[in-house]
Amino acid sequence: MKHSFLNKYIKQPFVDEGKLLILSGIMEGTDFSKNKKEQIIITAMLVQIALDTHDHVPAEINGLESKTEKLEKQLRVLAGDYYSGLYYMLLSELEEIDLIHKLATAIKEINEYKMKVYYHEANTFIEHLDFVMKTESLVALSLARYVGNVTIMPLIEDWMYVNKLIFIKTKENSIINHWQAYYPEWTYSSIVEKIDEIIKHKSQKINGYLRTLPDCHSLHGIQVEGLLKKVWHGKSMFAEGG
Amino acid sequence: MKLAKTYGYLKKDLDLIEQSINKVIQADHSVLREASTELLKAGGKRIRPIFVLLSGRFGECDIERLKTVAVTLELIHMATLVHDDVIDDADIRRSQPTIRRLYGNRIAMYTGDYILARALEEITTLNDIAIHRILSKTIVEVCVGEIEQIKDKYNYNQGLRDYLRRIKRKTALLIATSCHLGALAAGVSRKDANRLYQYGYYIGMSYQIIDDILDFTSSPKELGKPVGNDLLQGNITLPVLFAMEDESFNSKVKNLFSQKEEITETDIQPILSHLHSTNAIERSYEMSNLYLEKALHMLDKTPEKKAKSTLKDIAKYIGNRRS
Repeated sequence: MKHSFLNKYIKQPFVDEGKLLILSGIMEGTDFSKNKKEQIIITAMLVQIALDTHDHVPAEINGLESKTEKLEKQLRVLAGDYYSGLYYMLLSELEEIDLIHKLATAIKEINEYKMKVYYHEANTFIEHLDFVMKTESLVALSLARYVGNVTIMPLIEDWMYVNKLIFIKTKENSIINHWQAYYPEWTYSSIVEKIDEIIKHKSQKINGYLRTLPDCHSLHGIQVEGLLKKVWHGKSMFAEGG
Repeated sequence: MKLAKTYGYLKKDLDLIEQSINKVIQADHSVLREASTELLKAGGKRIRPIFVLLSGRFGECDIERLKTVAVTLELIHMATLVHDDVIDDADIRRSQPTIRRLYGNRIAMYTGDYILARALEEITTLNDIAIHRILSKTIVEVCVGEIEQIKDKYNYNQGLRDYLRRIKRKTALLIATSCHLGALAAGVSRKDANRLYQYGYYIGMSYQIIDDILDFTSSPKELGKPVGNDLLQGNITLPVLFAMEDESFNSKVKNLFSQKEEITETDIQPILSHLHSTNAIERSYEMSNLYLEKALHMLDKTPEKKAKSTLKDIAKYIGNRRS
């Protein structure tokens, strides 16, 4: 997936440890070989990285961009397309045609939700959050459905919710100001309070799921619990690639 | 000779493909739907579906399978165009405002991603692993080609091989793949499918070389952009490469690409005049013709079909293209 010119000018793709963990959890207990499991996890991450990379293409038409800014923008567009191409190519090599189809459907639906998020079409702030969370969880959900691991699906939704909200709180809190501008009935502090409340509630639910998961998920459960503990102790749970 | 006349008998199938594309891009979100539909309405030559259909006529010609391949390739092409307009900050395409101009970069990105996803949903209705391996490799190669094109901008130390590799990825591969997949979807023998792939590759190379020539020989009105736009953007194309064999022309290009300020139309005027005083355009046409001859040669070995004579006509049309 490496391309030297891309690496020189744009940041290595962000690999979200939380998402990676849930994807590996989905593949646990399936009959695929170890190598195939890894390949499938990589392709699902590639889909997510492709989508995320395109979210970093500057939204505004800015005629005054510098040469470097222009180059970065151009390479972000191409990098996202390149990662999409790689996902298709890897799954074609694995002869997983149906999974290509399922992930393409997820990408299609995610872009529909991204439009709703972009135009702030939710009636309430909570609905807006739900739209954002759909863009976060649909790739993992479609993989879980594909491998028939439906027991983990409620965990995926709650985990992705917690994962994203913590990311926003710790790394992207400018988005809270953005939300506040569109949902003026919410103050900055009331949004933060709501986020904390959701994180707490969802984390309790996650702990509940972990106790009910089959044995094959025990290792994964320990890892999820470990991450949750890190979160509650205020440590960073995110890894930046490169 | 009017090109459309040569493949007039495909009209019914092309109409089916057009309807199918229109159906596939009907997104739930109104802006996503409008953006995609506007792109479709802006038209285009539909050259990839034409190559799919013609290659398919060498086999069983199952229109449903061919339609799936043709729709997919055209959708991939459309998605690429939307993203290319973000890359180039383009405001106009096919005389219409671009998606990025109408809705901004972010929506252009979502629209391109949506269209590509729809393309993959379509093609994966065909359970033929060879088709997916070929198509996915082509998509990756096309992306790498675009990245390489950006990397090679303003680089005057490049040669013919760099240029040919670039245009292969930029244009020839998708046309070659259109022919290849059309043939495979119709059950054409591997030998003939490979010949059709080669035909598409050579046609694509010739087509892009002529496009690069026209950038210097057409009027701004015909081009819809300034004459020598490739040079303005820092891209070295075949006519420039040939002209650079002249040392004084070579230094002019080096000086132009070394200047810190943005290159303007005034900056390139002396270079354009100098280029026209060399035999670079003539030599570029000769190279394009070499590729066309190779394309025609590939067809010689394929079975006698009406589609074969149409593919020959297309090759001749491309060779005579002057605008």
